[in-house]
Amino acid sequence: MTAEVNEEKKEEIETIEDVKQDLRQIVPPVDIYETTDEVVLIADVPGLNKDSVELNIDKDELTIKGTFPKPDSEGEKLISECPYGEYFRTFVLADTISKDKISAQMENGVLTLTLPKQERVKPKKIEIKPE
Amino acid sequence: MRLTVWDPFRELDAFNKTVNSLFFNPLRRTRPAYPPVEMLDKGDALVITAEVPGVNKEEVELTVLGETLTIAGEKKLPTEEEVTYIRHERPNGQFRRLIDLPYSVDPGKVIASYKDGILTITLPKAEEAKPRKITVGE
Repeated sequence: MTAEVNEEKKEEIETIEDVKQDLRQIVPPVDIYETTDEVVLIADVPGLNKDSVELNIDKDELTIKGTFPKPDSEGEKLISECPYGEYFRTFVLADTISKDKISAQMENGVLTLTLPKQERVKPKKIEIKPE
Repeated sequence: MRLTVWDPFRELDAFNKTVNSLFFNPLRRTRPAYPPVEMLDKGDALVITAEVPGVNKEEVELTVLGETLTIAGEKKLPTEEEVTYIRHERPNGQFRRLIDLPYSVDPGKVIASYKDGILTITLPKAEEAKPRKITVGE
């Protein structure tokens, strides 16, 4: 069983070696959820910190970029599943987002972006006047 | 909020890899083990790095038993409130991964650190696993 697993791993390493490239594009997985006041975008970007993550807003395009630190490679590689490379993902912001109020936070390799909605799209409670 | 139409060239590498893995690795698990790891043999120690973004270091449980390292923990949902997800791609829930080590290690000398979502574990080789020179007597 162990031998089989090792064989499988070896094969995996070989295929990774085959498509060796200087920088690999990593598409970070995201969670996006909406509340009445804001849209929250959470991206897994392990290896990045608040100084190495790059956030850009160009018109309505939001880009998350960053380079995964090159791992220490001295020694024999036995398992290799975390490709190093470049994180890259783009989102188009809805026009209901106040672009100048976007805030970002980085913690434990997780990027959290808070995208507040514009006042005009927030639900307003209409009070009914008493007669 | 919507996602961009993806530039196909950007995805070619990932696509290529997926297609390649279908042909060259038919036994490949459909769902890769979590967390993904890197294991490096430094000769006198093993260095294992695991990607566990968003997990508190207090919540990661590492155990070494014999020649197996276990990484266990829980990746929580981003919010406990009831929200509507537009995208839900990040893994969540409890995880446990057993990693076979190529040789026995000294459990007392294992060092682990956590930075930017990456867990680094250094496992020094056990004395009994180190090669010993034996002089041939007369």
